[in-house]
Amino acid sequence: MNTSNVLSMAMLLVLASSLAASAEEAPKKPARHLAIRGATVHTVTGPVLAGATVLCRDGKITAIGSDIQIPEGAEVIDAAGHHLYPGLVVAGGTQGLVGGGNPEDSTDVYSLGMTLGLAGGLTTVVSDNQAAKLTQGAVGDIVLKRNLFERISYTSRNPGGRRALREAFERVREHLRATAEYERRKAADPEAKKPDDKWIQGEYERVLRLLEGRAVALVSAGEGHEILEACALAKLYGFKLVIEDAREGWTAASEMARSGASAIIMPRERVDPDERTGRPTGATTQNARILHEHGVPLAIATAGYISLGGMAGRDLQHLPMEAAYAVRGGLSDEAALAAITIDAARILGVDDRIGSVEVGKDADFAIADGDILHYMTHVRWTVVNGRVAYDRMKDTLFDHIRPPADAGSHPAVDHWPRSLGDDR
Amino acid sequence: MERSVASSNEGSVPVCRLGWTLARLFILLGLGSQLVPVTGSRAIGGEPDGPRVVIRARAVITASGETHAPGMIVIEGGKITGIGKTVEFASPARIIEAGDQTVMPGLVLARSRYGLPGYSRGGLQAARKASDEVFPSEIDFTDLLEAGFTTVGFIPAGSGIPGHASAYHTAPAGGEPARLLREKAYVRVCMDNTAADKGGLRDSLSRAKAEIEKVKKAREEWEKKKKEAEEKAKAEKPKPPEKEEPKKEEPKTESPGQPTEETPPAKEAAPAPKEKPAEFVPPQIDPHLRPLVDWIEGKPDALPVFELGSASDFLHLDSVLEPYPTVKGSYYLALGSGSDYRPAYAALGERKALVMLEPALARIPYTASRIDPAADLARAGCQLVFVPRGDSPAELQRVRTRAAELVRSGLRRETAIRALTSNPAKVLGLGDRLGAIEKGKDADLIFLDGDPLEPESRVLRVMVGGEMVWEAGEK
Repeated sequence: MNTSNVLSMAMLLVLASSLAASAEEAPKKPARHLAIRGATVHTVTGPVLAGATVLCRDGKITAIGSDIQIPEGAEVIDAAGHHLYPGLVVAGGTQGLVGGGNPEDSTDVYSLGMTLGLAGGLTTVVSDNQAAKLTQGAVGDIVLKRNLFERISYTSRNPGGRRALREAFERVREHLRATAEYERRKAADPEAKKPDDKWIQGEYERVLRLLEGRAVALVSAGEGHEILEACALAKLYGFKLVIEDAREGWTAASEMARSGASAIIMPRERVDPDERTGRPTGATTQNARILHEHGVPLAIATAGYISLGGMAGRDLQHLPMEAAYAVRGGLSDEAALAAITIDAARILGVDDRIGSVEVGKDADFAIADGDILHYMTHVRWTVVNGRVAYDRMKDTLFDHIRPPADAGSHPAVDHWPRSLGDDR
Repeated sequence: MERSVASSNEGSVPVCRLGWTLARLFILLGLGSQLVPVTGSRAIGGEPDGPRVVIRARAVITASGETHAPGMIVIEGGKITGIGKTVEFASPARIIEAGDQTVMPGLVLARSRYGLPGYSRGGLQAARKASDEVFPSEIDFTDLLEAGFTTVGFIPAGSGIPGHASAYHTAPAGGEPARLLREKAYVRVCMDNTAADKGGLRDSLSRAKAEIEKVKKAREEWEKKKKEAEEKAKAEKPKPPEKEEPKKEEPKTESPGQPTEETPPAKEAAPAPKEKPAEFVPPQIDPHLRPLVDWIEGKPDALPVFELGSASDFLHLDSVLEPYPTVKGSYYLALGSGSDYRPAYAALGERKALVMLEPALARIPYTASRIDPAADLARAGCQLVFVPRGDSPAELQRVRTRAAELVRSGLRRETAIRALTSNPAKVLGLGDRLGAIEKGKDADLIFLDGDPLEPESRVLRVMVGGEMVWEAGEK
């Protein structure tokens, strides 16, 4: 009786532990392979590879090249004649593509906004200070990074706020010095007192995170003098700075470069020069080129929403058009592409995961039927986390748009779910 | 007792004539007023061994796959005891002639707030029951009866996990306006606003799991203590055990609201090893978590019904339930203007889910393409449950006619019939009692002047538990 008891107990334990294990780890699923064959692969951080195969496993890139064995059971996309890019990244804030609050819980993964974003080649956007992926049809692995930036306000329109911010920087820096002093003395002087840090809360804590390099500051500064002042503050206190909406960045490019600031710009944004000032002002299509030539890390963003009204081509569906506009101002194609992929990812601090086609990175791609910066180009497939999140021919939005030579060559797709059987 | 057979092709069997003669005799004897298609069944329903009722109809739709035309139903003690084209029955029996009528099971409404006020409440309220807010005497059930519903599942108001739905008969037994059939029919779980609901459900489930762990731990300690006590007793065998401390502190753990971890029952009694181990008293479980604990342990009193607003909600729900493979439930799909559940059809069908929805066509969002969610879900393998668009009398009436429209546009007839009767009964946990004309089931029937899936057919009479409770024209 005792033995059987012990036995059953042991069995229970085994059962319980296996149950617990299955509850914690995801149940073992077979590996998910995706192979994209024959595309011109724009790696962004490396060469352009013609007719290469990109192999992915469980959402990560595992191989890139021309002589790659495709495992059995892999989903294969035949992308001959297409161009494969890393999924596009919008570094500016967006609305309506992923859910607010915690996108893992609130995102409608079949929403029109998300689908249209994917149709524009986007795979990662910023929403509520988080980098989130457009995981159409899947609710896991949406959030890439939380707390991207510490947004600070440092504008001449609020002198009181400016002073308070400078004082906060001053006070926290003083505290850091005192703490360092204490750490140095501690060993020799047993009576050394640790500086009080209870007051470091709220604004002070944010400043502390900036001063310790644990956070990046985000400043919205459109005008040249505001950019210069933000850069001066960053240089003085030595924190990392991203300037959003830097439309007059070209007037302060060298100062931005010296202070290590990055810029998020919208090349199509128009502002008239202010004739009353004695310095260069206003918008120019050359903004992106000038910033890039000065070595300022650059992300190109566009209006942060999907718009189905008004003038077409000015919203998140047309991020490559925004980048193409920077090319019109003299930026190279390569730099323009980087500004919507790897450089945007760097500014967000997620370039270890996304932004280029490299082994080990996330399998996020925009596969287009031409040069992505060309206005005629459509995105054919968008892949997120190794899953086909958008397929133009299987979605109702753009499947009817065909190149003239192709028109009528194959019938429009029937979207009725007839594949479920014919039990009528 | 004399055996008789009633048959549609009268005359082929000699005994049959005898039956008929007997029936006519009853009529002559003045009992006719209770036999012919008028109600007046006072003497019959309710009593388990009361006289038989025999219904002879133009057609009997059983909702379990058969239609008998003509058909007969034998009812004894409020239960169906015979069904077929021709059924033998023992006399005496009261015969209801419905030769120009179609009889089918009473319709079952699985989700309603008919006649009930709204409340705004949220969060985990799983211990609540709709029956606490339903006062049948204050509700006029006429609209439900007129639409052919014999059973209604009232849902608790609110969002989050607002509590249990309660199932009622829409008609009286002994003068009551309605009769409670099942107090805890299912638990309503809202998942149509995942931003709030997903975290809430995830949190509630993990709390329920913690409750299970708590009970398990208490039991382990109790067993340990029991074993120690036994060993001790064995060692001191010569001395007979004295029972001076009967179950000292045990019942204390039963008191609700007491902090749980600090004093598991075993510890209390540990210093007194001589004491005979008491019965294991599991620690109290938060009543609002009790249904969730039951789902996880796979022995639910009431299953969850997950209310979704989109296919995306379905994925979010599945991701929350992934660590709890034992939690199974049904679904309610709200059909809004932009809702599209197509991506979830295959998964719902694969688990042969009971799916509540409006019988209505929909559109692929942002297109003019018509889709038929009901037919497509059925083809995928789901069991459909039709619910009205709202609780207005007109919408209650329209459930059947909308279903008829879907049949006209391709839904299988049998699927539509089941979606109005046996499947909603299953959702309410009453599938073994209601929803079909089968031997042993309750005699909840409706009499129509034509086929139920013809839009112009009207409900003429409603029978609940073998008693005629409503008739057209009577308000």
